[in-house]
Amino acid sequence: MNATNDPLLDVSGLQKRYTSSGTLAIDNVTLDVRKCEFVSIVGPSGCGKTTLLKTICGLLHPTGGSVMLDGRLVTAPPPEMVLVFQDYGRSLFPWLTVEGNVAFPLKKKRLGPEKKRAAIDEALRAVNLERFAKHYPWQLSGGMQQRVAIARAIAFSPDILLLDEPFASVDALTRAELEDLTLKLRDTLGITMLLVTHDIDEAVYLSDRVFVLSPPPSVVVRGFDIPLGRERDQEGTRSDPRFLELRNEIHHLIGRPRTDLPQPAAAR
Amino acid sequence: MRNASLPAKRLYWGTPLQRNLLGIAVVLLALVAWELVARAKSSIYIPPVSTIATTFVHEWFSPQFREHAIPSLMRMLAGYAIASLLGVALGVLIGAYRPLFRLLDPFLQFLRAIPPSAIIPVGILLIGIGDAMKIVVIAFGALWPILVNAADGARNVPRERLDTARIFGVGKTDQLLSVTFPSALPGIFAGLRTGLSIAFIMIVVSEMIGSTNGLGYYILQSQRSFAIPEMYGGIVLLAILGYTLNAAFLAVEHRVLAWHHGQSARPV
Amino acid sequence: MQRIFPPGLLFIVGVTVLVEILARLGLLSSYFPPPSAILAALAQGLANGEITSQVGMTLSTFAEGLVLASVLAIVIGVLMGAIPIVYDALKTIVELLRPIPSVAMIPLAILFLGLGSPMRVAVIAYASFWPLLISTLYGVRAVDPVALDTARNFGVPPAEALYRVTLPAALVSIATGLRVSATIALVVTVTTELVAGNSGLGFYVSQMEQASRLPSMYAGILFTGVLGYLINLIFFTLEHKIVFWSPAARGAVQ
Repeated sequence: MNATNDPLLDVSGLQKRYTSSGTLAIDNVTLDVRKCEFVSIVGPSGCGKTTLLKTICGLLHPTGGSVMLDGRLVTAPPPEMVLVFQDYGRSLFPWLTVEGNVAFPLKKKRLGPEKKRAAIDEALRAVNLERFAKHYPWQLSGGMQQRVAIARAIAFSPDILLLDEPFASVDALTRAELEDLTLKLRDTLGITMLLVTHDIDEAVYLSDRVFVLSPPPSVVVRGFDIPLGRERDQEGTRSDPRFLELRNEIHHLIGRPRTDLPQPAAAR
Repeated sequence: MRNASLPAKRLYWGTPLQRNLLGIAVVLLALVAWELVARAKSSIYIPPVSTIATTFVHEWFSPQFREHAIPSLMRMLAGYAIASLLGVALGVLIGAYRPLFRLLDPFLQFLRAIPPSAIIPVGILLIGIGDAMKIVVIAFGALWPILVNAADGARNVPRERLDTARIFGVGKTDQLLSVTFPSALPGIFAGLRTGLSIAFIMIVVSEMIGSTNGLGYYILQSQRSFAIPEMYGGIVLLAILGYTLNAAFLAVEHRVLAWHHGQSARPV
Repeated sequence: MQRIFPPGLLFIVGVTVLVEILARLGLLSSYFPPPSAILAALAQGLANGEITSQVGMTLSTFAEGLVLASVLAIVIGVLMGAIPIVYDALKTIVELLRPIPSVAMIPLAILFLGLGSPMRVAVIAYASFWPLLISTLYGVRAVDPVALDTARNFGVPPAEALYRVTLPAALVSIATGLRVSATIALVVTVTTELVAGNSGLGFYVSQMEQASRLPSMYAGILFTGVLGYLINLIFFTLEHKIVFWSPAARGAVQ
């Protein structure tokens, strides 16, 4: 059993080569996430962040290094981990209602009908969508659809949630709402969060720690502690001088080409 | 009168009711013209509409219907059912497994290019002139669009949906049934629609070449024996049947694909 | 091996070899000769002109029918698409005639035109008319009203706007409709030749069947498949080129 200080998720020396082209997407990524932590990974667009999350999740096999969840090696998607995709339009099932989507992960759980009903209601309540249970996802706004995706993930009762740029496709106001929702979910449901984003402000706002990823072949350039306390709010936290200091530091770090490799042919 | 800053307006005229009535009025006008011309010229090739109508009622509200129309419909539906089941099952399987698709696709494309009526002589040789031959020929003709479209639909399932199912512990077979198949339904229905019209054509052709009853036989025989009003009547009946089948199909499609129509109607 | 020969091609070869073996072992119906015999008959038929002449007939009736249908379909389609009153007047007739399978028209065509090439051309034209009409119609109606309005603002008269804005934009739809029509045209050509023909590939197939020259019959069927595949390929490529070129055309108009 894990001691409380051992990380829940331990990624060590992770390497992933694209099978089709052979290019190195991820070269050497080492990071860890502790229980109930909120960790963000930031990097410029196109730096293989989705590949990283998919490899951590077990959807792809690493070509080097390892991913350990709760002390066990990840070789296939483990039941304690769920990945929420950026494009909710392509990951939600349009032939099912909102509650149909949320019920989907429960197929494998063998719950009785009352427990199933309760799990669905609980998940919908957690994202404030109880009133829309009988709607179809495509009848809802972008932000609401992403909430459906999150509710569906929660219904699976995971220990850790991987989020792939989940708020990139929604407007700024909705994004703020969703950010706070994720914080609330972490607090009330005790789910550990690993979020990938290109939005530095978002990463600093939400996280306890931030890892900066370099352009491919990606490595973790640096890890930052975010000592802004447990209680965050959009106005207060974002105007905190320490917030600004941290985001600026991270901003300077991002996009700098790796100095220990020959320069890439063309900058993206 | 046309404001440059407003979007262009179509030159619409009249009310929706008037627009619909015009079409019907034109048809009625054409029928009246036919009647007058036919009476004036009294050519055996162009019987008056009234004669065709009375012959039609006489022929088809009688045992003729049972002797010709019913067998045609039964054979057609049987062939179509076989083609649909085979086409959807094989199509989805082939589409879902990339290697299988690459293996079979050129072969299927070639078989699909053969005009189905060219198969009739083979059918007659191998199976003889009977219901079985017609059903096989109809099934052969209708199979290809159904299979190809089903495969297309199955191939184009968004990766994220299948990944999500994997994350939730859904096995490969279950993925096929609960994710790939529903996702492919719009494509499947496109194929089924084409297959239906091909089945309809094939029944007529096969009955013109090798048969002793059926609508195709009836129409050709009528022409050969110069029973001209009967010939026109047969064609009219075919048109009515075709229209009815199409309408029934659309009604079913509308119900099954309600979610798809709703989704496409919304600008995302 | 996978890099050089696409697996699909290997599969076809494999199936052919398998059928050859089964046929030679006598495991297949006596009505199904081994592929080698079929291919030999095909080669022979092509060499001595038996098949080639019929292919020529098929292609010429096909072309006549398709051209006739295309001209009518595009003209009427543009008129219906651009002028709402024409659309409303004709739409009911279209909806009534469209579901009638072209093959049902064969006896009617025989009545008026007898057996022979003109009858077949008429039936082919009838069959390939509808898909192209519908595609043209939709293509014209779907033209972006803003583009038309822009042209109007620049003082372009309606007839010229039709030519310079609407047609290029509708070209994609028309190209797709043309491909579908061409495919249907070939199928209907072979069908009419089979049912009531006196020349062409379909006629050849039925003749060979009656003469019990089975390898030649199958060779004929094989060739119709080849023909169908080629025609589909040609029109598909054409459609592709037009689709590729089209946004540029639209841009040039702006």
